[in-house]
Parts: sequence; C-alpha cells; structure tokens
Amino acid sequence: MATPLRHKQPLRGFTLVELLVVIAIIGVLVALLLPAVQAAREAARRTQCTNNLKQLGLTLHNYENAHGEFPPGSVGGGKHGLFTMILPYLEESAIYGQVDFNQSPFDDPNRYTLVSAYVCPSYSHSSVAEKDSLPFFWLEGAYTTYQGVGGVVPDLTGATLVEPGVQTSARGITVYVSSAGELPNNGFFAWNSPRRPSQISDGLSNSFAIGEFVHCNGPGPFCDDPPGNVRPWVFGGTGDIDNNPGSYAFKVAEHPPNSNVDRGVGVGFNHLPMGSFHPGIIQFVFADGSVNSITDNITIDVYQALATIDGGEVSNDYR
Amino acid sequence: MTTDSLLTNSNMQMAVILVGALLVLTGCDSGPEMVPIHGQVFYQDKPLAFGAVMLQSPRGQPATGLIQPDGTFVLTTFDSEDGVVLGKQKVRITCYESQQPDSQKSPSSQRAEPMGLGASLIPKKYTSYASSGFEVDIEPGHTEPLVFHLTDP
Repeated sequence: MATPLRHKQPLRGFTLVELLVVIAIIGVLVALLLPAVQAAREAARRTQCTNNLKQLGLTLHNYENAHGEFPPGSVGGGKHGLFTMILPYLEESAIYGQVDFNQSPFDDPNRYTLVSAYVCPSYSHSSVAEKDSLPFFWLEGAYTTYQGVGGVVPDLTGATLVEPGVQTSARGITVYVSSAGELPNNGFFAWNSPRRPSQISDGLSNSFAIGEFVHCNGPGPFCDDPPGNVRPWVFGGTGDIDNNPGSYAFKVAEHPPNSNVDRGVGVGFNHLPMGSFHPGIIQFVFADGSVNSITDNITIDVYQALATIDGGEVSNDYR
Repeated sequence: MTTDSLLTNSNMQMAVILVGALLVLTGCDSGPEMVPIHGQVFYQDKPLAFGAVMLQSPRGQPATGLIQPDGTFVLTTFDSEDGVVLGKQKVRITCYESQQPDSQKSPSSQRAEPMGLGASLIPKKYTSYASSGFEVDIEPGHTEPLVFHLTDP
C-alpha cells in the first residue's frame, strides 16, 4: 500500500511575527476606540443627569403652585428636608405617604428606598447602603447626589448678634452661626425659610436652585472611601438654630465646584463644595427650571453671584 | 541581529521624528502656569502648630496647604505641592479644634453625626476670605515664602 503523497512543499501559514503585528494593530485600534466609547457612555449618563435636574426644577415649581412658596431647605435638626417635601410633586406619593413626620428621618421606613431621580447615573459608587453595612449609622440609606444651594456667607465684619446663634451682617443678611459652617439667609434654600418667587430679586434665571454634590474627603473626586459626604435623601438636618445647625439638604457656595477641599483644611460640612463626576463641569437647575452646565474654572465672583437670590448682581456670563 | 541592521538610517530618522511629534503633542496639554509656594504662619508671634492655609484665585480651584508643627506649609492646587496659579489671591487661614492631628475620633455608636469643626483657636476673621485682610499677588518666578502674622483683635 502506497503512502499517499503529502505536501511536498511546506504549508503556507502565518508566521509568529505576522500574527503579533495583526494583534498589535487590533490593539491600537481598540485603544483608539475605547476612550471614544467611554466618552459616549458618559455623555449619555450626563444627559440622564440633566433630565433628573430638570425633573427637580419642575417639581419645585409644582410645589410652588400648590403652596405659594418654594420648599424650605431644612426645617430643623432631626427633621425631613426638601427632598422629602417635594416627593408628591415628583410622582412619588407612595413613598411620601409612608413618611411619619413625628419621627426622625433616621428612623424613617423610606430611608433605604431609592428614588431614581435623586441619583445621577454618573455617580459611580453604590447608590444605596444597606443597614449595618457601613461603620457609621449616618452613612447608611439611599443617597441623593444633589443638594440645594444655600447662598454665600456675607462679610461678617461688624456683624451684630441678634440672639444666640443668629447674626445679622453689616448689609442686613441674617446668618445662623454653626460650627459646621455658617448658614446665610441669601440662597434659594435656607434653614427653615421657604422662598416666594418675589424674593428672588436677582431673577429666577440668575439663581441656582439645586446642583450636583458628590463630595469626598481627600484628594480628587474619586475617593476610595465612599460615600464620602454624600448622605441619604431622607435626612434634613442636625443640630438647631441655637445648636450648630448642619444641613443634609443644601450647601453654601463658599468654594468653587469640584474644589479639592475637605474638613481637614477647615471647611465645614455646610460649606463643602458642590461637584460632579462629569469631567470639568457641574450641572445646576436654576430657579426658573432651566438646567445649565457650569465649568469648574468659573470666576468665583460669578459663581457666588449665581448662588445668591438677592445680591443685586445679574450674571449672564457664566457660559 | 542589532537594531541598526533592522532599521535603515532613513527609517530611524522617521521614527525619531514621529516620537518627537508625539512628545510635542502631549506637551500641549500642560494646564495653567503654576508657581511653587511655601510659607509660615505665626499667631501671637509663635508658629501656629496646626491648621490650614487656603488661597483662592479669581478663577477656579483654591490652593491649600496644611500647617506643620513648626508653622510652615506648602501649597497644593491640583497635584501634590504643585503650587499656586498666577494672579491676585485671597487668603483664609483656619485653625479649628478638629484639625488637631491627634484629635482622631474613635468610631462611636452614636446616632447623630459629629459635623462641627470645633472652636476656632485663632480670631474668627482669619477664617474667611472676605475678612482675613490678607491678599497676595503671585507673579511668575515668585520665590519669597509667604509669612502671615495673626494677632488678636
């Protein structure tokens, strides 16, 4: 039996070098494509985040239609804040119906209930922390990555003490003194002071209402100890007017957005900077319901003018 | 086989040009001009032992520096000790009880969050940009240390 004649010439295949070159070329193409894909994904998340803010802006106005005034920021220590007040106007009446306002929000049954409009999709950490999953009780719950804007602390040189914990600045702005950072009464949200639209004399389109807040202690926005200073939406505040009020629902615009500052450099909880995970920008819904992007590199005077409702400035040059 | 025999001379030149172009292109994204800044803080003529110094430029991010036990500080804006952007800067200096290095709070079972910074150990006016009375102008090539003397009112 004759052995069948097999390949007299060697089989033509790929050499190792050719294979490696092909892999390298594919690798380069993927490396070029991947950042573009990631950017597109982030753009989609940012759009959804814009939509959340738009919903919050409409909700504020629906609330105003029903009550004649916008919701207060916090109504006191151990009480609910603006994120609970606006639930019925965000079509979340089912959650609102379960809230027992005689009880502290710490014990509220909705503490671990996620409200999707309260979390920006770009927030890369977990949006709910289950009971006993974290070392501190006050970190646990369903978070909000948004905070109201509570004005700017005025120059307190020559301020007069009205009563314990309450000062009036030389220009007549009431300020609640707090070891967690002064709370002024010149923002869209304030401690227990609901706004009527007529009080916003800078104009509704020139005043921040709600913005993004993802602050973490330590360097950079991507902290390794989440949730950082993000807190459950159901909280309103701690302390009280005469006892170091601390706000869980709004922040005072003392520092530029995404600033690399924390409590270690003496920035109080009420003054922690607003911020986002969107590269280079942060989004705010203004008092008129419009959503705008603000660059991290904004002029601090313009930023603070936008954060007050009655400072007498009209700032159209933030874009 | 050596590299020289692999690449002819003209190929080599082309590679050098390409690598050079890449380096030049990456160099374009270098951010604002920064000046490294250090300094010292005195309160009642003694070095302040802890706390922080913050400089706020008219635009963008503030520079921060933690005060060391000998009163010195080095400022950071974006990366570790990279300094300060150019221009006029407002200054605030903080020294709160909670910034004391040995005041690490042990994890507690308490329900309310301890939010406060504690009492300010320097006059309150220094903790605000508006009332501190300090302003510095950082020019290119600034080398002088920033020295701040705090006094009681």
